[in-house]
Amino acid sequence: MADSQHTYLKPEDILKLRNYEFGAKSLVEGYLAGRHKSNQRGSSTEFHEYRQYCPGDDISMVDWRVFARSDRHYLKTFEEETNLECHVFVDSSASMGFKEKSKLSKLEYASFFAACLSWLVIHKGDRVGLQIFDKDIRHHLPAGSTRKHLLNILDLLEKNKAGSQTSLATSLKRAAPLLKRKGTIVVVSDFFDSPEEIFRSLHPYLHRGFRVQLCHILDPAELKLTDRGLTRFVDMETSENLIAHTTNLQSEWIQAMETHCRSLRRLAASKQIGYTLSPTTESYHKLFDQLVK
Amino acid sequence: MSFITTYPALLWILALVTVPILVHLFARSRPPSYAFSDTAFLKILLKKTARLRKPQDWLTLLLRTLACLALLLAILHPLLVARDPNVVAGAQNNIILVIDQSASMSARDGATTRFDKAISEASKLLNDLKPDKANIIWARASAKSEYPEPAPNLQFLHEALQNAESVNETSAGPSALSIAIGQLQKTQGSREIFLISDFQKNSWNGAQTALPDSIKLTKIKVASQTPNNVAVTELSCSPSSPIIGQDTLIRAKLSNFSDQNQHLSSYLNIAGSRQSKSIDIPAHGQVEVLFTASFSKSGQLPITVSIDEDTYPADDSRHLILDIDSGLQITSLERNPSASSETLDRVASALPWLKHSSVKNISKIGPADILFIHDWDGSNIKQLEQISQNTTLIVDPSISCGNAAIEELFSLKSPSSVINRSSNSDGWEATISDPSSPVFQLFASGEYGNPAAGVFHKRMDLPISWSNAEHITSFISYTDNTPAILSSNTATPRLLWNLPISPTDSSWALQEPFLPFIAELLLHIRPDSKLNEQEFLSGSPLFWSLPDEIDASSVTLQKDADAPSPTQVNRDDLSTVLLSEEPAAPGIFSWKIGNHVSHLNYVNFPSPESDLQTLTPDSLTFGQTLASEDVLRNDALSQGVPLWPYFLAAGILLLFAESFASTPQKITIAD
Repeated sequence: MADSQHTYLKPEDILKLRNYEFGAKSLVEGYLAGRHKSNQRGSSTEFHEYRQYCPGDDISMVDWRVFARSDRHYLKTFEEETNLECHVFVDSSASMGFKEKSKLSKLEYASFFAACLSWLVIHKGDRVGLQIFDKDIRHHLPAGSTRKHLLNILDLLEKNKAGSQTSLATSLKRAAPLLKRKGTIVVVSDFFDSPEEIFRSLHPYLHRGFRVQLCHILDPAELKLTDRGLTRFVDMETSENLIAHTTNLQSEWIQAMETHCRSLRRLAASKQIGYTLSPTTESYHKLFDQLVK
Repeated sequence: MSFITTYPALLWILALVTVPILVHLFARSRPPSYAFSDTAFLKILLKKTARLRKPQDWLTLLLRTLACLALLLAILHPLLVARDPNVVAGAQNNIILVIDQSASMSARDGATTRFDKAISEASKLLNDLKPDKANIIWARASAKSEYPEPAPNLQFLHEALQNAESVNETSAGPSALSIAIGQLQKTQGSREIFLISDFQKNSWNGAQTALPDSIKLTKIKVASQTPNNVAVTELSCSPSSPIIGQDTLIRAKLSNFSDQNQHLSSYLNIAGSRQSKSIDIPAHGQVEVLFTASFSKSGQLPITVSIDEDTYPADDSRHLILDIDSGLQITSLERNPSASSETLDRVASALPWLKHSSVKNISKIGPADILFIHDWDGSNIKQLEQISQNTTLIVDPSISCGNAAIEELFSLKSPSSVINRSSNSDGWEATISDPSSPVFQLFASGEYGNPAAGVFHKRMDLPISWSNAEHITSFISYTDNTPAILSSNTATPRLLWNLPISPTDSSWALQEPFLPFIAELLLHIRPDSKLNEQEFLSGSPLFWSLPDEIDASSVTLQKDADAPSPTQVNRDDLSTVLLSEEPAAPGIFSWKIGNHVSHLNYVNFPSPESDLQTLTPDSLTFGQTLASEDVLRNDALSQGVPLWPYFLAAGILLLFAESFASTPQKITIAD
């Protein structure tokens, strides 16, 4: 299943990922009977509960034995076991093309991670979809579990280049109708946006029962702002110029980034959203460690 | 306390202190570009930190600039000039300021005079060098020292400087230096002479002094300009002692010491009467202005020639006291009454201004303008030489007069043969040898005939070679070139007379031109020595030997219309002399008894001081030449406290402070 010709999926990664079990701790929603518990009541063997009949319910679901004893219509529901559906959102805005202290740009790092995650999900028999966005959804691959689908994902990732400005909120809003079934959303981004705005855009998914995992990718130079003296900063997304003295700003920048990350972490925890910060100098396998905890 | 630098020529590097500022300004305008993922955060941070960062930026810039300044100052090796003896160690410091006080120092040099500049330089040296002992020696006609030797009381020297003025005297610079050297050789410690002068060319050209190695001499020149000056440099009269009614030629020499031709008026002032003449003087040239005058009264008469006032007015006038005689006294010295003497009697009776007397003995000769020695036998040469100091001698040698006597009296070479007295019944004729002589000026037109006309039967065969001697002028000679009247070219002429004037020996005295010739001759052979008797040199004291009948207490000395000058009386067994207490300045001085002027003296501006051109002090072989600022700098260099280590340390500390101020506190971020 592994294809060494693809840039973002290496044999050594595959070897490492074989033993990972993604999503074991959470409930997922799928349409195939599978390894994961489903919170949908369906045709499995695990009893869930009784509930009173409502008009429109499938009459076949009525437990006639209970009707015979109580002269009331109750439906017997079962827990449905299904396969996992994972949607990977990869930020491809211009800022993701930044790299300084790492060999990989943030986009390359995110692509490696997305490729590996896709392989892992499909390798476990689950379904994975890919959304590449910047200020809007640029590419959308619906969830799939075939090898061909994996190849499509890998091809898409390889052809992907850092684009223009980013708008995570808009992209998530646009992507919502495209995701039919509940599942897991993994957002890989540098999250240079207001935390409140980011989580506001995630609310619809949370309401729909999606499990959300945020993977915060940053270059170390973004974490600590390399001291370059007086510098003309050119925004990679807007091409705006800004002259600032890094020596003067470095401590404030570090504090600001710490505050920003802490804010993301706090908001994520409050909404039961997974959050992982990973500098691009660290292995993206660390993200899998976080995901399977 | 002040700062100086060891390398003032490198002061320009202080301009480098602007480098941090320029780097700050230009670096802000064109910093290197850096593509960054997101600048929105930076914008927010900049807004937050701007209020704090701007002062910090300025502080950093200030610290950088100060560090740069401190390091640059360290390179310049600054010195802290402190005069505290506890701070500066050193041996006793002795200095002598030799200040030129001569007339040329009163010339203006810009806004002030050269002398004012000299005083200023001297005060600066005394103030800043603060010597342990010091002295001031004024270089003038006679050098004057404030202290007998260098003394520690500098205040007195400051007061002396404040009260000093330049004097119209010449400068005895080398003499003043010799005094200074002598005084310093008696001191211990460092010894230094500061010679402050305009180094006027006339005063200092070729000056030499023996400067010991242990004494340092520094020349400070205070003249930078040469004013355009015109001066009356000479004044004389011809004759020097005219008689009443005699036409007198007053000759003034005007000198132009400037680079431009000058047109001006000159004025002759004689007892209130005034004559003027306009003249043109070429650049660096001289002209002679001639005035004529005659006088109706005998006695002393002051004469002043002046010119229009120029930039240096001290030498614009010159004075002279004329002794106007009422007549001439001619005395005949003869053992026996002679016909020659009788001829002179007749001449004297014809000329109202001439008196003639005869004496037989040389010791009985009274005051006389001319002494005619008839039939001189060659005796009393010493006495005659003494008499001839003030009296014109006319010597008519006799046959008994030896060659040696004539040779000695007239400084003539001995002839190869013995001089004989010859007679000629046919007689010899004589002719004028030097028609250009003023004696014969009257006869140039021919109106008064030939002054040598006549036949001479007796004569001395004087050698012809005597006429050609360098110091001899031949007025008249015989037609065979035998000298007839020879005159020595000395201040007081001596005439060797070889023309018989007795009617028995010649017909000359009977000729009409004889009388005017004798008159002209007597007027023109008077000595000039009287001319200078009333003149004193500027800077020297005036004195008057009082006649016996005058009481010294009744005499006052007065210059022009000024208040009386103080005098002192010096008495000895022979005479009483009144002496002025102050050195004489140019002008006319009157010795008065009450309101009556009894005696006149005059003092003229020293002519060499009129040429205000200066020379380069380096051309003098002694001492070094420095400006006073350089003197102080050198002194400070030898005694100042070096500050460069402090500036270096300050620079390093400032750099540390700058790095601390510009480097923010490191904060680590937790994952």
